[in-house]
Amino acid sequence: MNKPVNSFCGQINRREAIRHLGGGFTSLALTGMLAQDGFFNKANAASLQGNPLAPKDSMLPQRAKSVIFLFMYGGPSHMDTFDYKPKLYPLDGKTIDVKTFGRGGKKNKGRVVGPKWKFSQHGQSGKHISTLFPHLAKRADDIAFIHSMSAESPIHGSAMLNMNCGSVVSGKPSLGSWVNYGLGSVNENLPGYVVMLENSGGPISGAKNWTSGYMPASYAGTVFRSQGDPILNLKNAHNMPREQQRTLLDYLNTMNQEHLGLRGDQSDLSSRVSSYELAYRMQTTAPEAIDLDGEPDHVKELYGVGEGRTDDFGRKCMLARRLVERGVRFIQIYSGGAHNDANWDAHGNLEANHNKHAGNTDKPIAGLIADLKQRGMLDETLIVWGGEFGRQPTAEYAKGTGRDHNSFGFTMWMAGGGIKGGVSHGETDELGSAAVGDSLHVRNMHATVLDRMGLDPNNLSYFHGGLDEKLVGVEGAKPIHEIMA
Amino acid sequence: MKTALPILLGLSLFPTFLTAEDDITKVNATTKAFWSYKPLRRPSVPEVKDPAWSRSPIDAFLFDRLETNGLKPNGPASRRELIRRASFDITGLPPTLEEVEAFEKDSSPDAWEKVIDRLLASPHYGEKWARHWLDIVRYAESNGFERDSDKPHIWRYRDYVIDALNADLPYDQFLLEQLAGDELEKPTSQSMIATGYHRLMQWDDEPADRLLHLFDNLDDDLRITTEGMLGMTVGCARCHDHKGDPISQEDYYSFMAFFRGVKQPGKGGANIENVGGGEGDAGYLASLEKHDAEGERVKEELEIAEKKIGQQLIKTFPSLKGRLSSSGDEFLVLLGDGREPSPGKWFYTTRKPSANWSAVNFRAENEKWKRGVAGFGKAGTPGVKVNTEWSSKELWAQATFLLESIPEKLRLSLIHDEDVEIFLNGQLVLRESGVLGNYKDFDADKKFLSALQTGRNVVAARVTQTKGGQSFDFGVKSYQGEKFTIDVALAMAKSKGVDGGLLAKRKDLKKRIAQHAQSRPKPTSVSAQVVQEHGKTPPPLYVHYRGNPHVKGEKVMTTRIPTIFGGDELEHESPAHGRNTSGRRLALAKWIIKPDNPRTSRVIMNRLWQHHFGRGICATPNDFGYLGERPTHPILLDWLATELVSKKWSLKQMHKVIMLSQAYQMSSKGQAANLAKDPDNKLFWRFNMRRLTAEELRDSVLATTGRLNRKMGGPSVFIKLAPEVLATSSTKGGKWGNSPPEEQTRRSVYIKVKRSIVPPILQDFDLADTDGTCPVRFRSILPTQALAMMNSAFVNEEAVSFAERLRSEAPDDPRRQVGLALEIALARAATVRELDYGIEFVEVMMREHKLSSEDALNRFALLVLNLNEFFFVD
Repeated sequence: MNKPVNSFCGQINRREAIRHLGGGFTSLALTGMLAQDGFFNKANAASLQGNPLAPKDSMLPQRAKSVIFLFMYGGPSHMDTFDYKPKLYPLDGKTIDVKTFGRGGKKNKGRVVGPKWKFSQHGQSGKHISTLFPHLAKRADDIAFIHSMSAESPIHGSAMLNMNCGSVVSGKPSLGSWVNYGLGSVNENLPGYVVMLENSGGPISGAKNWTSGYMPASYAGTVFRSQGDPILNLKNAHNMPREQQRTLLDYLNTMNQEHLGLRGDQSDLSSRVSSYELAYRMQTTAPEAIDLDGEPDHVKELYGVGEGRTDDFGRKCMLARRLVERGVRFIQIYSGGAHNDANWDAHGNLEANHNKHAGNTDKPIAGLIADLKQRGMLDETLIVWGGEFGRQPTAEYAKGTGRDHNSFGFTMWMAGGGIKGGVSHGETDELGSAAVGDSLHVRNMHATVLDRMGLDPNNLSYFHGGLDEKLVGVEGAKPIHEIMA
Repeated sequence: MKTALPILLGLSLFPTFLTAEDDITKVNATTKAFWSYKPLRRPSVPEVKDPAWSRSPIDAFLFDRLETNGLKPNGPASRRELIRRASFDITGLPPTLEEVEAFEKDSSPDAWEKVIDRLLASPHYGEKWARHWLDIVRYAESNGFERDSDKPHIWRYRDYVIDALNADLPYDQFLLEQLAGDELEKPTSQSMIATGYHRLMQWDDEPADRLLHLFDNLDDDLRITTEGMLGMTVGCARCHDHKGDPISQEDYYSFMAFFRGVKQPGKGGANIENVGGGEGDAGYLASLEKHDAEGERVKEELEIAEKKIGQQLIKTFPSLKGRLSSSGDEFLVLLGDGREPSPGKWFYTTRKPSANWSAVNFRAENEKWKRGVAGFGKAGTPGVKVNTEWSSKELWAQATFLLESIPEKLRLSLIHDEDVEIFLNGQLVLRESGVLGNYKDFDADKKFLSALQTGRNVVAARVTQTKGGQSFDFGVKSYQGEKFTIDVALAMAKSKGVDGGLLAKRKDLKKRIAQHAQSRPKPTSVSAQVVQEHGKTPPPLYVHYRGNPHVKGEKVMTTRIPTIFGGDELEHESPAHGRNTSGRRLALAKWIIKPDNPRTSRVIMNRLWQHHFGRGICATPNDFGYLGERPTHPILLDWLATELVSKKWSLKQMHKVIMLSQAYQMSSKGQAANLAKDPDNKLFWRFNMRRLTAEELRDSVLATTGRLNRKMGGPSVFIKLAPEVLATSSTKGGKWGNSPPEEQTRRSVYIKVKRSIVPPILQDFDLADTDGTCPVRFRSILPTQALAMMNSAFVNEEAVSFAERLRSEAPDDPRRQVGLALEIALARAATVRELDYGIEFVEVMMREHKLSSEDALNRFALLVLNLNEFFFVD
């Protein structure tokens, strides 16, 4: 097993990369990483040979081996879901002074929309959860809620980039890329980073949300479909039977071997020959991973598979579990796609919007937690739930219940590997308009994920454009220790 | 602790504490002596013993190092390897088998040089090398973020780069036009389009923090300039003094001041101007002049040819003597317009004449009217041949011609800008309004003919103009009854006695004249995204504490270059032609392109080397500072840089210098002894084998199947994308278009570059990300690439096209089809073994997998497109 090693955009090929190692050390020295001799002394030329996704040792003790990021695209309302605001109900319809910043710009006043669902307490922890999530409420004691989240932008485009890649401008690698860069993948027959989208469409900015930015494309997310052909180009063209494909590959290999004969020292040539064998294996392992037919009915029932509205998200959650079982490092599932009410972006009718999206996902997510737990997998699988921001306590328009975006304060939750269950951390003001006290930044969430995966968020860096780039930025960020087990 | 950077100096892995004088973050003797900061000097070329390695200075430098290190360079590559290597390097396309064989057979001493010249003259050169530049400037045609809206007309910038490279625009001029093509003394449409350079970055139309986004954008502009043109990474100095180079935060902001006036990208029509050629466009006028001169030259050639034909005709038919129209013209000129060899002479005035000015008896010569030769107009007004300058609002003109008898027909010619009235012998015979941009030739109407008289005929004209250019010209010709044109004489003589070659030449010349007239440059409306500034005085700029624009530090008072480069304040002034800019970019550009700039020529020559040899002499082409790699051959790089300057920044000449070296012509084979000593080929003892780039791969597939559409330029094309790919967008279909089928097979450089959707066939093979400058692409080898090459719709459709080509070129001959497939794809003849093997494959596919012969060949075509030999260049 190898340590994660920095590489350049300036990388030419693997042999080149080896030569670049000197440069790698250089940059690491700049962030004071020479101090961590133990970490870097083990890095050697061999560490860049072969697949960039080859497994690497973790930097820190690893509390989770995989991440499932349930992305509630569009921005779910925290005060209608997990952040109980009793004082907001009686203010319904009243215009009050409150500073907000959303799609509609900056405002100092607004008409309160009282929370539209009732809250009740659940589990040993007595956590207040709204009636939007009856199934998930039963899992309250497995979950750590973070109520004081904040993000750098209340606008979808830049906020999505912020949540996925740590920056409001594009070009930076996403969280899943960092995890794969740091740890590699233990299953070379499947991508290390899988993204599943809603049928209604992708999120705003599309592939920029799972980009590898300035890192090699092998660290980018692969879009996986839960039904049909899971990965682009996975299925043989012309319905070519497998035996026929085998013959083709055998003849191809023989001819490539002949070519290789005179060029034995060129490792790229032999790598390419073996990449065809890997692809050939992938063609069976990937469809097998998405084949849910063999799952027993009681497990399907757990996820809501086969039940109309929850079938789609349930399949994706079940598929996520199967991918985790097969060693996939990072899985992101989108709830919501396209624009407006096709996702959690409830500008008009809050009730209709959230009833729909919560209703589609509540049982599958609760099922996922339950299933992972019963298999003993929950403590090594980190689940993250949240959108790119939350929503305002006040209405966006003169009429209706729609809420505008809110990046000053919102809720995310985590569960599973290395996370305490049944805790709530941080808070927003009594209206839910902004985080109070030590508000947490997207960076802290990223730092927590990396830390739990055994990666030191403040030392995991990649040299690019004269800078030691880090997911958590030059400022660095502390993991959220309060929720860490 | 800034100084505890031992490895930066390449000395040791152990921390060494250095003195202040060695602090690499300060401008001092140490940093000034660093290889890329020190002044550029022409090094002397080492003498080497091996004569084969002493012809080119490049070889002498390399050989010298190899010899010192006990390495023996490889021998030459085979001619096939060489031409395949050169074709991909220069044009991005494979050679044809015919080209390979011609080169293999050419025993002349300059055979290789001829190949280089041919490739550099190919327009595909610009298409290939533009892509390298577009990677550096992170070229994209959309803005990114929620709407990922289009950048209208920005493709013209891509075409500008292609055209500039093909025309071998000197590299200094190339940089100058991109940075400040609008601030030049005489901007041209091309130099305006070049400033699209400042318009390529991502842009958020609704940023959460506008001020921050503004400075993110300015930083983005600054970085492609510093990294792209100067090999200098300055990003960290935005927040604090650079921790690895002698660049202070103050240096950074003083440099940003050069860009401070630049307006940000915007929605839809922002920064869009009409840059079409017109009278204000020196480039357009020059092209017009060049065009007309060429036209004249061909006409003269035709005259000479016809004269010879006439002489030969007269020899056979003496009666033709004196009756042949000398010019080949079928008209007798009565009053010549400006295009005639002897244009008519006119009297004219721009001051209002007396009321009877148009009458027959009005004698202009007695009224102090001026004398002028046709045509009239302001220089640069389209269409007209100006012999007499006229640039006022009104013109009155008079001319005369003589007639011995009244002809039945007359041929007139006219051009005007704007309204014109023409009187013949006092009668109004013609009245036209508006602008005529080209000469109109037409037969005189009844009105005109009936106003004619024998003897002196008086033509009087009045032209009025309200805006734009001026032009007026008018000609009268009679049809010549009594003379024979060459055509008529030839027809009558049935070409007897005339040299056939001469006739063919005449035919060809006439065709060329006609074509040439068609291609006369026209003033056009050309919309382009260009750079614009906020005015002559840019908004103020402050140092930002920790890079945060909301925390202002000191006001930046100067536009100056970094201290390590001398720290000069650069003077600037708004351009004289009234463009509303500060002139700051022009000042910067002039510094960047100074021949003694220590970075500019080094940086571009390193890039040239990189794309020829697979790795730069400095392996971090965007970073020549302390954080970058040390060059393996700094003296050679200095030699190349000074050579470029002495060759007047001609990149094409430098390609040739490089390719003529022994080093470029080396084989890529391994040698056990060398592999043991220098496995990474640091010292260039062999040529580096490489995988094709994404574009080369797709273009090669199309070239192989014969479906590559070589059309150049124009708006980008949308290739077909799988529904799964379009489904990743938040909008239905991802605002991705669908170009007609023949457009979809154009070269990859013309495929739409949209930030949120990238065609997988390119992305899978390491296309550069468009959000930041990319100096070196990754060259990965992954199973997803194998899937794309085996299963994607594109490759499979092309494999079928390829097989169809084989079937049509070698019908019913499977062995020949197999051979042809390998010949076309690999540009070499197939061996007997390969033929046997290929035939065996086809037969196994038919026998064991029950495929039709057609499908079996389709599979073989697919196999060939997947061969390593197809993918890699020796």
